[in-house]
Amino acid sequence: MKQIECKEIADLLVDYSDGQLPEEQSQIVERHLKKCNNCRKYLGDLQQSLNIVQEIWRENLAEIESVEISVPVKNRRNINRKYAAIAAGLLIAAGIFSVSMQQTLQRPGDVMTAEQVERKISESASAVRLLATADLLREYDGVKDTLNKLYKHIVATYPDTSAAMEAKIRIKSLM
Amino acid sequence: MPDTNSHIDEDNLREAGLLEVFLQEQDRLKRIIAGMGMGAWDAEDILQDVSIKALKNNDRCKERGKALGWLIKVTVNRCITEHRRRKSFAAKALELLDRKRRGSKGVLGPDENAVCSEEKTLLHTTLLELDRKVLMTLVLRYFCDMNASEISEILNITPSAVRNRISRGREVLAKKLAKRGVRP
Repeated sequence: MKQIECKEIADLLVDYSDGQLPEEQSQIVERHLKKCNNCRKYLGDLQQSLNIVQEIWRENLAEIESVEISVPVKNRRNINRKYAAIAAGLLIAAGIFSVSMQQTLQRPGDVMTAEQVERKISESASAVRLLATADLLREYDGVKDTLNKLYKHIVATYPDTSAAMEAKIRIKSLM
Repeated sequence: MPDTNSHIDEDNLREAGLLEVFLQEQDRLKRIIAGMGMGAWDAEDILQDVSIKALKNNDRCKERGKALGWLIKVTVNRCITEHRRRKSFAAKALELLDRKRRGSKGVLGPDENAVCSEEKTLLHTTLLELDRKVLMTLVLRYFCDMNASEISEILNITPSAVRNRISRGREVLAKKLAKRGVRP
């Protein structure tokens, strides 16, 4: 008889420990607990296991506490793919640019120093990066003014680059 | 015993977009993610995904309370998907325990709640071996202080199913502790 009673009480102990049992059932459980060592131990295990689990959760929370998303951005994996494509594009562009510059350098009367070549490559890369950033922003609402300023900045700062040409086209498309 | 009805207040009826609520309630979402045993990288991925969904659906919920419910639901689903992707809870548990061991500074101090690492390790593994739906229910109940009715809305199950899952989860944890002879 005691076994059956313990089983019935055990089914109520989670609700009892959470304070979710109606008063009448609560009193039945309390009366049983006074005389049953096994059920008291089980109640202790229920409470102790929850305490430890909550501590584990708090530790996990402390580990991710510093993660903060302030501005929604596209999924990092997609962004990485996009930037990988941009980076690959940049390398190809830089390669083509270098080759064409070497050919230009070889032409008599049209001399460019290595520093100038490097600066041109650097400017082209900066312009492409800015253009790519602006293109990422295009997918969001309410950023038209920012985009306009960004494209105009590319045109004004890096006028001789292909990115500046692209930026001019983008400005027209925004109108 | 937490006041489980405390979420229902006037503030919940205030008009707010999903993005605004997301930015204000990241800590609450982090509790769900931490409760499911995710690390910092997973947390960042999940929060980013939720933020993008919030941005795309910004005007979907007019009231703040509903917006928060929506965000919790998306976070819960994302966490569950993440676990499904991992397929094995055991593998995840080992990964977490390894990380803990590597990051551990050694012996616990006398004031550190007197919870020994063996109990923690045992329950840590048990927690991560739990059915993910049972685990999520426990997280929402005992780490996010939500009541059965609130959880039932988030998980699309009845309050009585919520209570069943809670009982099942608590029993598994308590019995595991009892089996090893650990007593309070």
